[in-house]
Amino acid sequence: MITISSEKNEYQPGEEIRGVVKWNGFESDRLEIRLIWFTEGKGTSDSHIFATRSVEKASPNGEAGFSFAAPHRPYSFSGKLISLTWTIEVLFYPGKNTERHDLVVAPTGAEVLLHGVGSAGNKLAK
Amino acid sequence: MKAEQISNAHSNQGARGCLRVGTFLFGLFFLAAGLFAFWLIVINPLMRWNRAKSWSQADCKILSSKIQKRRDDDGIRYKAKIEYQYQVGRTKHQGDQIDFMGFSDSQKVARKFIKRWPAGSESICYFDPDNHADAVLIRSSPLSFWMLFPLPFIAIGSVVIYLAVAGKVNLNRRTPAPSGSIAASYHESGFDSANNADNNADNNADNDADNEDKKWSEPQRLAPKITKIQKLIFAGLIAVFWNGMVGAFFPAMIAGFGGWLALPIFIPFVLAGLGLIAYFFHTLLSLFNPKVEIAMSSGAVALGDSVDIAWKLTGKVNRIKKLKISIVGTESATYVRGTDTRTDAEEFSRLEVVSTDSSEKMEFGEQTITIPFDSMHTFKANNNEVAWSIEVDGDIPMWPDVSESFSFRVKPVPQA
Repeated sequence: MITISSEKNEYQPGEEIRGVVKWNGFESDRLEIRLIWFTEGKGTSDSHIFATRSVEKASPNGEAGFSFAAPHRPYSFSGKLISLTWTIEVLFYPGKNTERHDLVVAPTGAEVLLHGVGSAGNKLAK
Repeated sequence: MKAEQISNAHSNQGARGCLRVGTFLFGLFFLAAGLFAFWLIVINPLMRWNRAKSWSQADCKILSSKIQKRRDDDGIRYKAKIEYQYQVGRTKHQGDQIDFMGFSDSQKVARKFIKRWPAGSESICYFDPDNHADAVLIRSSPLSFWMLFPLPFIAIGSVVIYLAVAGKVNLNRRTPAPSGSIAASYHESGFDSANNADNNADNNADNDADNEDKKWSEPQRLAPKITKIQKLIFAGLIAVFWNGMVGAFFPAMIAGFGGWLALPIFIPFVLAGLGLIAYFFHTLLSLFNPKVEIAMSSGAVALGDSVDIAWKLTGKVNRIKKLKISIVGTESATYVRGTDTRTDAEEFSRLEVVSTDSSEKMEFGEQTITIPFDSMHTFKANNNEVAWSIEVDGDIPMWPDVSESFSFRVKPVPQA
């Protein structure tokens, strides 16, 4: 079993994304913890690895911490056709077992709603 | 639960280069095929026809006259096969060439030839005085609809080569990842066994976006997304291609499908062709519309920031009944459906810059606009995009409207 936890799920650009990956029952040569964005919706999906952390010769049971700087772009957003999501993805090699934990990266701390732009009450998170 | 792998870390640089080369070769193939067909169907027959004006005439006897039938994937093809004999001096020659085009698939045309030259009949043929074995029954001009056939291939090949060379190939049109999987492939990111150090993977895409923002972050005179001339060329090529294909094959298809009774099948194709011609002329008339120029105090504006926008219209501005200039944000998504690649777009933001019916205000003006801070910055990936533009719409009664679009960039909120 793999679990990923982070201090919180909403981040502003530049904030530190910290968390822990815990696993048990996995034989693995190494594992990679990646910060990724991907799109979903009507269009063919795009994705991009922003940062990676590698851990060598992980024992079958263990945990590893991670720390990434929240990128300044692109923001998490949701429109009628496209949504973009940031996520922490963990891959165990070989075998490529994976797990992921979605985040929000945006200046307001909330995902940008394209078709709700300009609505009253949206302010920069303090 | 095992999560689907979503990484796709292929660099775009290699893909961009391969796609451009492939596109160039594809265009080259089309152009080469078109030029070869043009020589075969147009140049060569016209050259021979021109030479044949000085050919000598001889009495000839028709030895055999029949219709050859050949079946292929497109159906049955008919060709008149006429063999004739003529004498030059003491030498007898045999020929079977009817005209300089050298082919006809139409049953109607084949029957016409057979009727005109039945076996056993006498006729006149024309032979090359420099090569007595070369002769034809019909020496008249070989002009026909078939001569339009190579034009679409030449046009398409030229456009595709131009797009490849000018770097206009759009990587958005690419094969999607397998169904059920967001990822296309893994990137073996490299393994740091010593320090378990954080690795920053390929951030070229983000750096490219930042670099683009830097280039645009100064006063800009914007260029339209597509110029009127480009629109005209595109409209012309499409009209030539469509009407060329319909015109080249229409008579043969009518004959092959049972005559004029089959006409209703082809009416939509003909109407579409007429529509494309009308669109071409519509675009041609728009060349005479007032010229629009747009300038911004910065071509890349951060969310929450203000920007000065100036506009200038020259030409017959007084013909415009109402002018609207707006800032528009659009999301677009490209996907494959069957064998087609489609792009859908949805406008998510529209900010009015000016809306006026005063010619004076149309000719020149400026306005300060603030981009909402809670909106989305410019974002571009292979298949999905958020883009910002300035749209200029001018209503001209009884004439093509002014309609132009100018791209600019919106940057993320500046970090403290």
